[in-house]
Amino acid sequence: MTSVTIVSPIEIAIAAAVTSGVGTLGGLGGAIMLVPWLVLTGMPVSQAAPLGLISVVAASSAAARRQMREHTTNHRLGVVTESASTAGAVAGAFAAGLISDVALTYVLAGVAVVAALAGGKRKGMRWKVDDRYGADDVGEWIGTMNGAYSLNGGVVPYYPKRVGLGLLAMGISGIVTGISGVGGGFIKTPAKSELMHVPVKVSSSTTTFSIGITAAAALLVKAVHGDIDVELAAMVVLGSLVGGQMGSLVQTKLSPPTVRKFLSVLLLVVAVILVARA
Amino acid sequence: MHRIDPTQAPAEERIGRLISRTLVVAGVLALGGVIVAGEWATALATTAIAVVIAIPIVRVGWLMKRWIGQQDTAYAWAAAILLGLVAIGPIIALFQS
Repeated sequence: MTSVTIVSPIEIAIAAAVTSGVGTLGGLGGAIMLVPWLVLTGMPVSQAAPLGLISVVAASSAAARRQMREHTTNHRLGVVTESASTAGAVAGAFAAGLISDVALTYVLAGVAVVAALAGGKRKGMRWKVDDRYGADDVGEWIGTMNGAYSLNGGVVPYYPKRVGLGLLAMGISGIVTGISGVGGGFIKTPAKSELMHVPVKVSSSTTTFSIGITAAAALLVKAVHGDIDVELAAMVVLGSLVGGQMGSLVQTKLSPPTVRKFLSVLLLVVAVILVARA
Repeated sequence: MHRIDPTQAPAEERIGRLISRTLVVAGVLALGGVIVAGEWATALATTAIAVVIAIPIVRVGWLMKRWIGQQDTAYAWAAAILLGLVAIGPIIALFQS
């Protein structure tokens, strides 16, 4: 595959590192920023999209160890929500063409703005350190999507609410992905955080884990079709491995309200990118 | 009342370490794909990408196995369903190609 982009492979690796870092920190995945940038440099969407997927998969795995050590990844929550999302994506792929891409993009931008405002307006934390819980309670709990994570030497338990509504949002994010090809991380993380009342760090880490699975599945399809520029993909892998590590490290250091505010700003940026794409 | 698997943290540390080490291998292969010229570059980069793609799928398989071991059947089924859904796309693509 011949690249027509005007930037060098090194610049692509640096862009992958930056977007993966930011995407991992906010739990959105870096592709939503990397792909538009690549397209702006002259790369066709068909070539840029697989590179975006590679960045999501690589950053997702790069962040895994630290996020698991921090117990902010809730695998049960991630697997259940991603099942709804992937089922939606399959349905959406068959529904592609039924809705105008431009109209859909404006709706997505609106969703991103609403999610940004919902997270940005909220003060403090829903789930606080609870002295009744100890180190033995930290982690995900068997047979449920509830769990607890460590914060400032204490333990914060959490109990996801409105699971049905959350799954509906995940299904819709999947349908949107199937129709438009836009990754759903910017819907999934705020949906977990604001609809399901999952702590923002857990929402972000869990989405980082789960979008890696969907992106890997999509990449397998791209690989079968021979749509991956392997040389540029290798650069993206290198950049995203660094970015994913950095994003998860910074996330560990920040307080939950700071992560939530960062996520809100990032969602507004995503809304601007979406409108610009439309 | 909630149940915690006492082996969860050490098991996650092990899989986390395995993922990190595999990513180092993928990174070295990707670097080789960038530095080396010709067919070797393509082979190394392709292998790096294959390794990166495999990690999240293997991770879900590992979770399914653990949840079966914990007799957490509902979530083991959820993982199996997710793996099945993930497999649908590539299978359809293979039939189309």
